[in-house]
Amino acid sequence: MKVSHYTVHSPRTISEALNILKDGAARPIAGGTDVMVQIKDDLVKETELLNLSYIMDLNYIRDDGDFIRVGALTTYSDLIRSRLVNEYSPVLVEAARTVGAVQIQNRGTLAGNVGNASPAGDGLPPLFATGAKVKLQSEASEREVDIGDYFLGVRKTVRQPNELITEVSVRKMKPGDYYFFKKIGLRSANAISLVSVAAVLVPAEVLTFKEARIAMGAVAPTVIRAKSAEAAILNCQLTDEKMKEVGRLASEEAHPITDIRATAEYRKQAIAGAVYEGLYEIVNGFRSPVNGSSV
Amino acid sequence: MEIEVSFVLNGKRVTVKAPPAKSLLRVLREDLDITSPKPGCEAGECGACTVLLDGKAVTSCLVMISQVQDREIWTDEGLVKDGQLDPIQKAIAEEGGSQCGYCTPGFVMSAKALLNSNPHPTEKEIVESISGNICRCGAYPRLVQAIKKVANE
Amino acid sequence: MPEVEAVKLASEEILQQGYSYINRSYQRVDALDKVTGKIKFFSDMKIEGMLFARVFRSSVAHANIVTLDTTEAERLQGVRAVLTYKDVPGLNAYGAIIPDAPVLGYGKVRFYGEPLALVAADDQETAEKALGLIKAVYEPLPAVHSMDESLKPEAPKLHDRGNIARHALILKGDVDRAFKDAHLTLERTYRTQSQKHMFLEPEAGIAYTDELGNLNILAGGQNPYRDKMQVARSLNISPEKVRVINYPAGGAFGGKDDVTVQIHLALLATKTKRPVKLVWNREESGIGGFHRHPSLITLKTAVNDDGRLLANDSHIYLDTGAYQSFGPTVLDVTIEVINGPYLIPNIRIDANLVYTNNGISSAFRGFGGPQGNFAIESMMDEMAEEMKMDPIDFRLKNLAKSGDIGPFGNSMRNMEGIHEALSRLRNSPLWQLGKELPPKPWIRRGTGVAIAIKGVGFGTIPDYPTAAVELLPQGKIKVLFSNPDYGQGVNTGNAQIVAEALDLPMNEIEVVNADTQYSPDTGSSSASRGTFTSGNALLVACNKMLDRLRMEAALYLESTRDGIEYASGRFLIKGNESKSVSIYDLAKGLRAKGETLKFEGTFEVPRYPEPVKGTLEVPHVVYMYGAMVSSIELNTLTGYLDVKNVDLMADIGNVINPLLATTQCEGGIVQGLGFATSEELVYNQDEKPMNTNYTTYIVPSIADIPKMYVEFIKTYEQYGPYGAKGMAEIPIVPVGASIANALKQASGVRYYQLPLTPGRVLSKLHDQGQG
Repeated sequence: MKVSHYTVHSPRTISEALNILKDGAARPIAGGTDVMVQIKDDLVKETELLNLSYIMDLNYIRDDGDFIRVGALTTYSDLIRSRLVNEYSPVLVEAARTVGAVQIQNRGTLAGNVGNASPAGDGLPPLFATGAKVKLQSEASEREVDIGDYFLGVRKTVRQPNELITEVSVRKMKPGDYYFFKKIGLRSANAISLVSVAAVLVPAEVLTFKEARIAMGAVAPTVIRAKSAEAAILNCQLTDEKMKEVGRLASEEAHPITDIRATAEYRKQAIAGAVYEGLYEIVNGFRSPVNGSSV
Repeated sequence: MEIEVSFVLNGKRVTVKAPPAKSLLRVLREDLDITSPKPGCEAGECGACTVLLDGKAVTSCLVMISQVQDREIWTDEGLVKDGQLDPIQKAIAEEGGSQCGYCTPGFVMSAKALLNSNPHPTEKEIVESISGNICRCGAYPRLVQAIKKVANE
Repeated sequence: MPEVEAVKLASEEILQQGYSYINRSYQRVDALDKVTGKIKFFSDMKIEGMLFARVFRSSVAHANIVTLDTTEAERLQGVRAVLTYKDVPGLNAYGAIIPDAPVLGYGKVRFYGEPLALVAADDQETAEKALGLIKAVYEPLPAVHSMDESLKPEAPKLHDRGNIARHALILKGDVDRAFKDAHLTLERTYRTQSQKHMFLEPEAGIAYTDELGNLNILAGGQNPYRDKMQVARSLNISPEKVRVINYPAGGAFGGKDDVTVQIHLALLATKTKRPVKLVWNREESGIGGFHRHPSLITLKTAVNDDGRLLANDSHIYLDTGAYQSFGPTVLDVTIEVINGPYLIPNIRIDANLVYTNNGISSAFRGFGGPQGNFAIESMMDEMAEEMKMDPIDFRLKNLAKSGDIGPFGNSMRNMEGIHEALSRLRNSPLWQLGKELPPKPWIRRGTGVAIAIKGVGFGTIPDYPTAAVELLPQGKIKVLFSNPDYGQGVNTGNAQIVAEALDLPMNEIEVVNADTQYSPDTGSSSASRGTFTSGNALLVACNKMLDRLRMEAALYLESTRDGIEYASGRFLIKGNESKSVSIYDLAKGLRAKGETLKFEGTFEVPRYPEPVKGTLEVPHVVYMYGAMVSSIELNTLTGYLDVKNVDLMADIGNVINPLLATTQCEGGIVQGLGFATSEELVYNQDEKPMNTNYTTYIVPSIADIPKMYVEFIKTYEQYGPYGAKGMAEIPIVPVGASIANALKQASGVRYYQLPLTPGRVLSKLHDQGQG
């Protein structure tokens, strides 16, 4: 670890931060839970770091019509404690609770998870399942990118080096929407996902659905939607056989890798199982919809 | 390059000079002789370096010293007041929650963070609060017992 | 049939019913220092002017070293020393049993991460940078990745003598004939993995030369006197010039039993004449540190039509990696447990210790016990099932009784405890739990049983632990012994033993642990021997002290030896309690006369005079036993095993401190849970360990552990201090088998390989149409 060769900028305002970032040399850091490990392992290419932790204007959760706006410094613990998020994006809360453990939830941020662009980031599948936008600001411009367009590959995104993620907006779920988040890890806590899956189901009538969004983590270079599985759910009775088929379809859309944690084959089987489990729990009354008693 | 950072450590203001990307853990251990936070992994995985940062449990190996200007930090050493142990320290000793002792300060601080914000936690909340701390001696049931004991006092 | 050598019982004279300090749950003597963070581990210590050391390790697993160039590193500003094998003045080898591992590699590299050079520099970053400037050129050799590969005739040879480090053959009866007569014979192959110790404090220490010219090595370890010997041997200096302190250590579990940092520190401190600190980082601990021997065991086992065991033919292979370390004795333990505590008339054991390029396997809690137990207890379960017998009934039927002759011609002693333990497990509510219908259809429940036997101490190897008590006139008793307390609690247990023997309150007892300058040689903390050895030696020492004081008191009180009695730190005249003297006042008198106030005691550990042919130390006189039942929930969609409950009934003799004993058992179960379900060191194609941190190497967290219930069967070991045996290893031994047996009940599929990771479980479920 060669800690002495880094320069750290610690601006107090967003505009100062954007100014520092304008030549694109600095690496932004929110909580630092990923970057500090990379520094230890000598994996950080940049020698300049942009420490956002003193920019109080980046720490907020705001109600904005159809969206909840989450500032770049807002931690997973903040999300878990937020009444607004619990009410309108319980699937995000469920995922947030599985991020690392308390110590990581107290430091790690949703924006950091987005910025780091690991396909195993636990905060990401709910953003795909609910529909989220990433706000990118630079000195000269500002834009919002749909979460589905944001990631290009493992640790690759559309963010330009002079842009800063200042906000992630999470689309609110509607009363009556069903959801689940499942994470398969090698340990019950403080584990990295082997696979994860978030789903939001919009009911047509009792236990039939007119809309379904299923997003899978750690099965491809980026989080992906399981489109054929989603289609198979729509406007039909979710029999046991049907739910298994949906799991199978999701699994067929997954293209995971084999690494030291698990084989690709296992990851595919686990995705099928996790999707089936989630659907089963919804259909058999183990889960309440949004604004139900579980909130 | 070094920067000067000033923060409140165990109730006293301290000022240190350190490379700005150095971890809080290393600054505490190497520059301030606060050795209760332990470098079990230096990757945020074991919880042995847990301290309170503005009241919240954090792994100090993942906090940059540049991030703690004017913040308040408590470590296990700081919980002893006038020679009196904190109730959670006392309870862990009595319940057998410390074996080799290396992970113990991290557990003390995770438990302290929980009890500060939630004096009467449920068993599930207790488990959650220390699930980021590894005890290889496996004193887990005793640690839960100790936290319950303080919560019930 | 060998006889137990006559042993004078140290504790005989002071044995008594109804203890004041034994059987009581005292708080750990160092608890307050630990919970407040006050205790300084060696990795926490700083010494004025100290240098920081790093180890240059090989980046290949098997190769000839062509050149090792350290010149650039030596030239780097701030570097104070760079050492290679040329700088090892004495024996360039270490190893607890047979020193076959180079202190610093030369000629040939045999595992990825083998230490080749040492650097000491003014600060850590410079030391780190210097490592990057050392250049090693290798001529690669084909690596041996597994025992299967190593045993092939065409396999590359790791050592001149070949790839079998040790072979043992033990025969009893005639297995082949027994198989012919058998009602049922099963042949099965079992595999277990490499388990890492993953102590929270990695291998660490600090060394300096003091003003008298003595070399002080302060390093977390398990046997300061063996460390001292190994350091002196490699530095070619008198052991008198070396002091080793092993306490405290942030966990050890066998992984700090052989030397880790000690010799390297000694070389650097001697060369630089400066204090030196060496702390391995987490990855280095994973690559350079020890681990549990992987095993490959085939059992061919037969029963008669009545369900009695007739024969057990075992082929045991343990992967010792590149060097032997504790391998030979680990193999002995597998040999010793492979027939369980059962009566089996015909036995063949063919046991092999095999070299591979997989790091170095060494001691790990239970030695080879968990490996052998997984095989035999899985076999017992399958045999019971095939015989349509209850698994507990089957075991009870075959379990040896007191007085029976065991597999090694030894007389089975105190078998009542394990009989009772096993019988009582039948009443465990966990057996009923398996029958309840789970709430979700993909969850299946199962309950499994396993029993365990494990020897206490070194078997037939002569073992004469020495400990001391010192009377301090200011009113304290110092307790001195060398087996380190790295968390198991021997400091507290021994304080209780001395308090009991001297009838003095705990706050008058002070422990000095594992410091060769003060503590006599009580040997290692390993093989569950700590309390048994140092506790017994301390009782001898206490007796000596009381004998000497009694004479002095008789003079002082103008009475006779027999005319006075002792209670609570005072001697008094029988029948005249007004005339008395305290031991501390007597101490002042003795000190004035120039007499020593330190009393040493040596205990001769009871043993059979000779090991069984083919073994090094089998059998033991004293065994501990455990019976375990585990209940699990299997998720058939994900293969995830949720171990819900583990009950352990243990026979560890009389229990010195029930709280510490219980916590140690729970800890052993948790480590066993990792062994059973999640922990496995994985190597890449270059034989580099890939999962060396806590996110890739899965140690159980609080959220993973079962509800545990531990109970101690009331037994009394006549050779033990106040009836105690040992205990550290017994809880870990049966965990793997009990969980695998529960999984069989839950899934209908039997697993012959640990760990039972979700991937491994699900894959076999699918293969067998159970997914």
